[in-house]
Amino acid sequence: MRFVGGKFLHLIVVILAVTVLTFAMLDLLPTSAAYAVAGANASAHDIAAIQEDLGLGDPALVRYGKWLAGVLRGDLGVSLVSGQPVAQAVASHLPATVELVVLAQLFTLLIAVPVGLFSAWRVDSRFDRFCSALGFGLTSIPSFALAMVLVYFLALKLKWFPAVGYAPLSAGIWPNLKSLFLPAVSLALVEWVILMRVLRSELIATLQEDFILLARAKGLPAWKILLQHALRPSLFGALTVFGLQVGNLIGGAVIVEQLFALPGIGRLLLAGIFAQDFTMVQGCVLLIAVAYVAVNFLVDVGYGLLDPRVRCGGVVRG
Amino acid sequence: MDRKAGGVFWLAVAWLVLVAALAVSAAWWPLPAPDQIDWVRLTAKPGDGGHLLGTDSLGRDIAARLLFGARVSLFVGFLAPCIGLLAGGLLGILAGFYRGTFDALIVVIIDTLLALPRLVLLLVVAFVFGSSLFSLTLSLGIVIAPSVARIVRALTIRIAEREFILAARAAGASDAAIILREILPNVLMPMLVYMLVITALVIVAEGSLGFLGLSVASPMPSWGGMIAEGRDVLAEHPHVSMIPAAVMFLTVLAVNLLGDRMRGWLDVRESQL
Amino acid sequence: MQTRNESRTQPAWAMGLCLLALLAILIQGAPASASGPVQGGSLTVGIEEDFVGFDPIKARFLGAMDRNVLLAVEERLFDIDAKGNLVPELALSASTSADGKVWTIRLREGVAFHDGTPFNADAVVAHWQRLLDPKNRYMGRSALEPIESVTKADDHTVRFTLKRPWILFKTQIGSAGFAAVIPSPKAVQEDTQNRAPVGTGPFVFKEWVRNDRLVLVRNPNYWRKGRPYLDTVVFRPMPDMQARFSALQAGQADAIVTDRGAHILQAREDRTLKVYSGDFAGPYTFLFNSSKPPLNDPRVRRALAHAWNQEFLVKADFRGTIPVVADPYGGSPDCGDSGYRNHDLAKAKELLAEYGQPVALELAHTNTPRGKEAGEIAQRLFKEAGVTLTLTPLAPGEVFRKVMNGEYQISSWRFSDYPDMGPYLQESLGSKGRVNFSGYASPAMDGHLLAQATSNDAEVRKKALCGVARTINEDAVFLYLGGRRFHILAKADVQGLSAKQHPVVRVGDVWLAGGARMQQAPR
Repeated sequence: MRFVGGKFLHLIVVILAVTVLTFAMLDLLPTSAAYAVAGANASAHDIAAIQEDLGLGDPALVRYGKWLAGVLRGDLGVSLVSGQPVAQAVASHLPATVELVVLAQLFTLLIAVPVGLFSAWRVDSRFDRFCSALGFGLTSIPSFALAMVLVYFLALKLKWFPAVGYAPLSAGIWPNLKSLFLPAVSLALVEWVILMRVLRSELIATLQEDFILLARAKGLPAWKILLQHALRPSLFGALTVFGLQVGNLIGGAVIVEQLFALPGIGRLLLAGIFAQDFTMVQGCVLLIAVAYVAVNFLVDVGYGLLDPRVRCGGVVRG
Repeated sequence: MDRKAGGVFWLAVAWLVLVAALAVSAAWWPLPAPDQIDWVRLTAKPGDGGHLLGTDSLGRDIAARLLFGARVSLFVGFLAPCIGLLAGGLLGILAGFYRGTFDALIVVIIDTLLALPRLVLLLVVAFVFGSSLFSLTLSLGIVIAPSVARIVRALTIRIAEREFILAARAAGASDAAIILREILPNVLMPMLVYMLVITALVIVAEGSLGFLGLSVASPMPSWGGMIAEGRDVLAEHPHVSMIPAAVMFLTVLAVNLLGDRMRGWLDVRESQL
Repeated sequence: MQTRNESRTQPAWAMGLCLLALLAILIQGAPASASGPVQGGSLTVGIEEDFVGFDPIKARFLGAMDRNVLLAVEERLFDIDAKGNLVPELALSASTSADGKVWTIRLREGVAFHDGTPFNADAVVAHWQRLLDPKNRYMGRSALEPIESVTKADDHTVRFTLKRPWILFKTQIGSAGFAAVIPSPKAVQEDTQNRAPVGTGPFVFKEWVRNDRLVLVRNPNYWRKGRPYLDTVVFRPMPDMQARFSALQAGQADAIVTDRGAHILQAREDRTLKVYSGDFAGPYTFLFNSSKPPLNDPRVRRALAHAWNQEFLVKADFRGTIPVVADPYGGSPDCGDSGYRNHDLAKAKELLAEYGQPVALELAHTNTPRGKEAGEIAQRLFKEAGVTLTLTPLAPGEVFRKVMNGEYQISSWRFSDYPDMGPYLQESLGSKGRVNFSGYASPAMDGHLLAQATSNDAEVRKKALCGVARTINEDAVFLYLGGRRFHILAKADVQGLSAKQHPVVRVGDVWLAGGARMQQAPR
């Protein structure tokens, strides 16, 4: 329990530090939020009035204090630009992001695990070489180029999927999945490679250990050796990578969200930075940081499940 | 593992040498300046009007822009990982070696930088310092540093527990001597391999930033910017976007292949990274 | 018709063909439209950015896309036609007193807001008093300064009392801006108007999910019987222009708003798509800061005007889909060439030589592909004249800040569009103008501006406005980056669209040929 307690404290400190850092960085920017809000025909008088309305006149430390006090009361403030409560805006952008991450990582797993297992079982086979070459190719393309190609062929030429737009779950599960398929695939096509490589190399090492050789000697079928004996001890690296990927995709899939016009957190954040909508940026950053930290926490818990020794705090893995 | 170099490896090396040579000699080729506009030939096909690879939608020579763009990609691709490696490596080794409160502090810094959305960092740097080659390289370096620090720290902890470190300590070696003579060489090798992986990622990242319009300032061309600029004429003049995309693809592929072979030779396991 | 013509002589036969062709043009080749508007169906419109908000005070300014919704959900007292005449909407008639200082407006009876509140004089008066009250700090209040008060004469009559006769009253009341549209007083009072607008219009607001969609549904109780035709309208913000065009091609959007030349040309070639265009005032410009050296020297500004090449920008960046302009009026009034300074490198160099010092400048532009491209062209053009230009891409709010505080040398700047540009230009270019951010001042300009402001005579005003345009070019106050042409690309079966009157997709007039086609049918 002490392990969990110490970890928890660490996480709180990290989240606080992220918000302080964001606030400090935003403070470096010229405060032109009032100008963005007022539009092109405002007078100096109007601008001053808006500055006051938005509370931008206070020093940064006071504003941070107010913001933090609000957050502790469960109030993320309102958008400087639209006046919409930040919590409401973030909540309305969450479904698309969460669904995109879940679907993308599902595809990633569906490709990476079988390929990793098979490649490790038959190292340097034709399949292994083909997959590693394919992997090199896919990781050498920016995801937006990949998305452009997918849209061109699968949406515009074949019309199998919508080219852009998000159909919420309320519109039905099938339209919802169809609208997220291309964005998720364009993310997964890059992500699986990294996951597969890590998994493959750990599997290769595991497969050389004594207990596997023993299992082989006993004549167990390949699938049984791989799935029941080799996979579990080879998952540490893959789990780390998987956690990092999930953490990065929350709010980090900006380009894909932009290309497919998905209402995700990344787009909200990007628009917030461009409009210098500080409260909105802070809200997004808070959510992203909490999500990142939570995912990492789960990964740590995952280590414990894979290997009970971790609970004593002994094993440190990159 | 396959320890032979092989034809593919030499092809990759040859491509990278070629790109590097062209980037260095960019200004000496008999090509139009990368920002010079051919007023009458917009989106010209390769070969038209003396434009080897055609022109983009503003009538600028694609070949010339590729050469100068190579400077950006290689500069960023080489220097940003170096910055990340230096800063991250230093923090990681110190944290892993000294542990204790100092380590706890470094871990908080690392986790904070990792949890901070990269976009915020990159955009704020671009807004405050302008989108110059220098600020782009620096901000990408800062983005890289925490992941490097995390890995180096884990490696250092593992190495510091080994017998030869204890032996050195028993022999009265100072901390600095242990770090420089015993730990650094052991951390360096896997890190150099890792650097090639990062180089590939950074070149792609520059492309993505170019797509968002956040890469280097004009008139300096960048590959990512070129791909993005050609996007809206993709249907009728695919070469404007596809030529820089192909060059970027081949370059990143070459770096990736190089990294893979070196990993094979040095026998660095992927899971260590 | 054709059968009757067959036996006639050849010229008549040819004339018949011509008539047929004319008819075909008139009905635009869609056989279904011959039967007139059809009820039902859903229309999805892809727009450039998300909406800002719909309450005039809460939203603070009218976002570029907001009018699309504003004019579908809410209505004005009057629309205004191309000739400047009032066309009754929520009002029936307007009459002015002999001294021109009182306007009496009779309102339509039996109209109700979507929330059930009756539309009457109280609603109109409440709206106007709210805007005019200085406490509320309505951003557009200074433009309404001549209005003394708005009062209720009886339940369906309101009276606008002016401080002095005001020729722009009709323009204000019929504009497509915030002041002219009448919101439900209940929604305003309950503070829901900004995010869930309520009006009397053909469509009822249903939902707005930020960055994703804004949905309108048919108003079953609309006072214009038989209108609107569509059951549902969905606006989807798609900031990426490629995504917007892909959405139209793949069928996720029935109409899109775009200014991308390549897509407009492609749509013209595509038989399944149609292009609607309209020209408006308020050009895109590079604004010079005339208050600081070196741009306070007219010779430098003139040199840059000759180094600049608007035709090339329009050709390269817009593929010729927007007009090259020499004045800020979008065609009304038409001022001819206005002494526009053409691309002339020799002359540019000559003027710079006269100035005698090296010129290095910074251009602040919006961080968009459009801003970047125009900047890169300027950078190269100026370089050929010997002027070094540094580009600084900025967020839109930051461009505003720099320009408003005079912390810039050259900046990308879009002039607002008004049916009558006169008063706005007076504020923007006059030596005492409230929004004169260029720091430009000249007696000649002030003279023309005063002349247009003080006259009620159309010819005199036209002459004065063209004088303004001529002085802009003479003194090179700013550079034109092409005129404002608004484009809608739509599927061929979308009928009733027009881009002429306002830069808005007027969904209230739209119907789908072939009736209620299934929009979301599985493919």
